Amino acid sequence: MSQKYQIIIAVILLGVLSGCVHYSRDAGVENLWRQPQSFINGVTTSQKVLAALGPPSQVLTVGNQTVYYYLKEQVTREGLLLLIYNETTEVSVFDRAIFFFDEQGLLVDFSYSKMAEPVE
Amino acid sequence: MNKQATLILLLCFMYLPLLASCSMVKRQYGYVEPIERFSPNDYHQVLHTLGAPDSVAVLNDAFVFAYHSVSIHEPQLGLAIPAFDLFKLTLGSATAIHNYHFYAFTLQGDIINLQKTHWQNSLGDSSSLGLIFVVEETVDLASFEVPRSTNLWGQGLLLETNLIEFSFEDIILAKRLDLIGQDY
Repeated sequence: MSQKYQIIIAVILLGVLSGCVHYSRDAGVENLWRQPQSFINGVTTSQKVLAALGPPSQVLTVGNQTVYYYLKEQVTREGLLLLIYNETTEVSVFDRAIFFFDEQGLLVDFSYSKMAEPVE
Repeated sequence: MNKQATLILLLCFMYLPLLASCSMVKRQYGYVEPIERFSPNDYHQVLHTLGAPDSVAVLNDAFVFAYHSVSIHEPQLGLAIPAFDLFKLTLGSATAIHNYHFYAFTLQGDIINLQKTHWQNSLGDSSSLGLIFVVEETVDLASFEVPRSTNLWGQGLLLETNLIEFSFEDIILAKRLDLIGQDY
């Protein structure tokens, strides 16, 4: 067997003896607020928000305001398994949207969560 | 390459698993955008600067926004046991780095109090015995894997209050902050 083949076999063996893992899961509502939407403070009604985003994850009452709170949890795990070094990274992203409505059901203010940066 | 060299190469491959190995497990829960120091007057300014809060709590005469993120680094050292080639003893420790912002408002939305803090704490040291090609968790992180209370809100409404062990009233009425790593 030539040295070239031996090196190739060694590399293949190293490849066989390593592995990788990846999984992801979601929980909560669909984050439709990341799609183009046209919500305007003082104009948009709670019915329109419901029609656009679906039922909220949570409904709160703050003074005389009603709050719709949406949450989507996204978990991703990636891993590299080698002979003498392994590394796994799990990132949980909590994608959120919050809407405040007055007593007439008109939008007072709203906001989305800032997007997470990847783990270094 | 002669037979002796081939034999040495094979032995090297056989003994590689017996060497010590190391693993790095990284976890990131949530994200709080770094911001300059600012003094908001009301909740609108907080929403526009930091986005939707990680948790909202409503009290009798106030409401609270909390922004919380946790980064966990868990370095591990694996030691193979010569008599059991397939198993590895893993020693590990974990450190959590927290980033936490707290804003309290009157029910009319004016700021009452605010606090921003950053700290880290040890989650403990431990060891585990597992297969050599599996990354084992050496620290109990179960409290970081419970569902967010927001996602239990609707379920809590459907429970028969006379039959359940926990009323979930705090969750239903949002009377508590849902912080990452905080069990119910």
